[in-house]
Amino acid sequence: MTGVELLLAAVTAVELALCGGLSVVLGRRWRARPGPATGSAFGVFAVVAFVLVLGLLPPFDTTGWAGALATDVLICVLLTIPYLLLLFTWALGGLGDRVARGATALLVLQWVVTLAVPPLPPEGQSGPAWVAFYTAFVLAAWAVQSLLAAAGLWRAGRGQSSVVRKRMRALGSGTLLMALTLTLSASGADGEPGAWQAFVALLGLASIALFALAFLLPPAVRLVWRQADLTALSAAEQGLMTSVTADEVARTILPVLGRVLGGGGAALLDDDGGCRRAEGLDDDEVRAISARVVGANDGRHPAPHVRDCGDGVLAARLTSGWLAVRAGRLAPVFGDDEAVLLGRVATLVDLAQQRVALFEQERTSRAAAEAANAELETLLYSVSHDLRSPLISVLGYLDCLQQEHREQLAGDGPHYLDRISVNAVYMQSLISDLLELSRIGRSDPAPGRLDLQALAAQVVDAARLGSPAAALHVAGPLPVVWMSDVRARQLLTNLVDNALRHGGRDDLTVTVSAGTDDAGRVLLHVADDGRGIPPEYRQRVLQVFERLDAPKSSPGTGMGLAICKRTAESLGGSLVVSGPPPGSPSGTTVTLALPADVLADGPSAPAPPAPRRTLDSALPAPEGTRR
Amino acid sequence: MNPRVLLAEDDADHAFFTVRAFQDAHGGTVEMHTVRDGAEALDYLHRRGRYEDVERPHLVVLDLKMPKVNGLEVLEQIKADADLRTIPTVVLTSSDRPQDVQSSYARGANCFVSKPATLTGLREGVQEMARYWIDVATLPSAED
Repeated sequence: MTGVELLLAAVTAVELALCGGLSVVLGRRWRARPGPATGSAFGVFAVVAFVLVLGLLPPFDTTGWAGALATDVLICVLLTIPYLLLLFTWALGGLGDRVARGATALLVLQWVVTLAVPPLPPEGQSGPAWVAFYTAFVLAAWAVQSLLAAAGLWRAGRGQSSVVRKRMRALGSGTLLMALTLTLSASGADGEPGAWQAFVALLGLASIALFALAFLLPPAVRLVWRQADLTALSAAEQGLMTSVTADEVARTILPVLGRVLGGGGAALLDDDGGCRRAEGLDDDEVRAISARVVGANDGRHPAPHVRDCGDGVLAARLTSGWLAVRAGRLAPVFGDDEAVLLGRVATLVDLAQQRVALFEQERTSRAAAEAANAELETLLYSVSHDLRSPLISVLGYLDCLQQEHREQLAGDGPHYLDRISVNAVYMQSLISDLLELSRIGRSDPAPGRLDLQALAAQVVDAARLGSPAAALHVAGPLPVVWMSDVRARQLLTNLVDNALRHGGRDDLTVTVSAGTDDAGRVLLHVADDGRGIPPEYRQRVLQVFERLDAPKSSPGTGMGLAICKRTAESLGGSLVVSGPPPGSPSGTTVTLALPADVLADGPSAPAPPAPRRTLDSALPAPEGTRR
Repeated sequence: MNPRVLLAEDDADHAFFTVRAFQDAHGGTVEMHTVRDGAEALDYLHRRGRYEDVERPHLVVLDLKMPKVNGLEVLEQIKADADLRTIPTVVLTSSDRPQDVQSSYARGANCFVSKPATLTGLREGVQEMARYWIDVATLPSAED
C-alpha cells in the first residue's frame, strides 16, 4: 500500500466516522424537533454516510439490467445531496420558495434523465458523447444548487447570534467545498492514486469537517465564538442586579437577549400572554409569539423551565409571566444551546423581577402613606382654618355683651358670661395651635443667617414682661445658625413660655444655653428649676394635646411642645425632655438638637428680621419666589 | 364730607364687626355700606337696580369668598372699568393662601389683608387698616 493509498484510507475512515456521527446526532435532533430543517440536515449525512459505506464494499457488477438499475438508483440517491442541502437552506429561511420548487423540479428532471439514458460505461472507460453531456449536466446542476445553498446559508446567518452566524458560514463553506470536491474528482485524472487524488480527498474531508464543526460545535470553539455575546450578556446581567423598576429590567435584558439568541426579538409577557415590553418585534409578531407561548403552556413546569413553542419561539417560564425569544428558525437545528442560555438569563430575570416587585411594593406603600399624611394635614388645615371664622363672631358678640350689657345680667349671669369667654378664648388658642401645627413643613419660611444669641435675648426680654418675678438668663455663647427667623423665634418662645407656664411658681429661674453633642449636632437647652416632669411623662408631654395639668387651669393648649417637636423634626432635628439642670434639685431641661449643617457656614446672606405683625397684611411675592 | 366705604362681605357677623372697627377707628364718621355678595357689589358700583341713587364709594373692601360673583371677579371688573378703577380696593379675606395673594394683586388689588385669626387681632387689624386708608392715605375724589 502506498502512502497515498494509506492517506486515502485514513481520510475515508475519518469521513465515515464524522458522517456517521453527524447522521446519528442530526437524526436525534430530527426526531426531537421534526421539521424540514432537521429532516434535510439528517438526510444529507445519512446519504453521504450511505455512499461512503457503499464505497467500502467490493464493487458490484454493473453489467446486466440489474447492475444498470442499481447504478442509476445510486446516482439518483447521490443527486439528492445538493438538493437536500438546498432544502435545508430553504428551511432556514436562506432561500425563497420559488428556488426550492425549482430545485425539486431539477431533481426530478435529473432522476428522469438518469433513468432514461442507456447504462453508463464502466468506470475508466470513455463512453459516447452523450455521457460527457450527461456528466456536465449533473455536475452543473450540483454546482448551481451548491452555490445557491452556500449563498443562502451565508445570508441566513446575517443578524443571528455570533455562534449561529459562524455556524452558518461553516455550512456554506462546507457546501461549496463539497461541490468543488465532486467536480474535481469527476474531472480528475484516472489511474493510480497520486497527489491529485490525495488533494481532492483532503478537500472532501475538509468539507465534511466544516459540516461537523457547524453541527457538532465543540464546546471550546463555541466559547470562543460566543465571547462577544457573553460579554454583552454578562454586562446586561450586571445591569439586571441594579435595576429598580420592571421597565428597567426589560430595557436591560431584552435587546441583548434578542441579539444573543439570534432572530433579534425578545419580549416579556404576562401570565396570560399580555405583552409587558417587547424589543425588536412588531405588534403582530408579539401577538403571534404570545399565542404560541400561551398555547404551549401546560402549566406543569415551574420557572425557569424553557420550552420550544415552535416556529423558533423559545419561552422561559418566570414566576410571573414569560420571557419569550424569537430565536430564529436556526435554533432547533443546532441543538439546545439557546434554550440553555435562555434558562440561565430567565433565572436572573426572575430574581430581578422579584426584587423590583418588592421595591415597587415599598414605593407604593410609602406613597400611600405620604398621600394619607398629606390628606390628613390638609384636613387639619382646612378644619382649623374654617373653625376660626364662626369663633371670631362668637368672641365678638361676647365682647359686645361684656362691654355693653354686663350690668343688665342678674345673679350668676356675669359669671356665666366669663366662663363662656374663657372657653371660647381657649378654643381659639386650640384652633390657632392646630393651624400652626398643620403649617409646619407645609409652608416653611425661607431660612437665613440667624444669630441665636441675639434672638434668645429678644425672646427672654419679651417673656420677662409677662413673668416679672422669674429670673431669665441667656447663658451664651449661642451659635450663629442658618435657619428661619420665624421658626427659630417660635421654637424659643414656645420653649421659654412652656417653662414659665408649667414651672409651678412665679420666681422660676429659666436658662437658655447651647452646646454640641458627639455627632456635631447643635444643642439648645431651655432649663428651669420648677416642679419638673416625672420621667414617665417626659415622652408624653411632647404629644399633641398632652398636658400634665387640667386644661384651662393654666394658659396654653398642650400643643406648645408638640409644635416644637414637629418643627425640630421638620428641620431634621429632635426634641428631648430630661430632668433638672445640673445643680438644681428639681426642674426640667428641654433640649432641641439640630443637625450640624444648621451652623451658619452656608451663604452669608443676612436674614431680614421678621416684623411682629399686628396686621396680617401680605405683599405679593416677587416673581419666582414662594412664600 | 364723610368718607364712604363699600364693604362686600357675605358673613353678616364679620360684616358687623368690620363696620364697628371702621366706625371705632374713625369716630363714627365713616359712611359704611354693606353688600352680601359680588353681584350686589357690582350693582352698587354700577348703580344699577335698587342702588340707582347711591353715591360712588371712596374705598372698596372686598371679601374673596362670596356667593354668586366672587371677590376676584368683582376685583377684575372694577379694575377693568375705566370709571371704577381709581377706587382703591382692599381685599380682606380669611384666606392666606399664596395663590390668592398673587391673583388678587395680579388683578389690581391695592392691598391684600388676611383676616387675623383672633377677635382682638381682627379688631385691631381692621382699625389699623381703616386708619391707614381713611386718615393716612388720600383717597381719590368720588366725583364722576
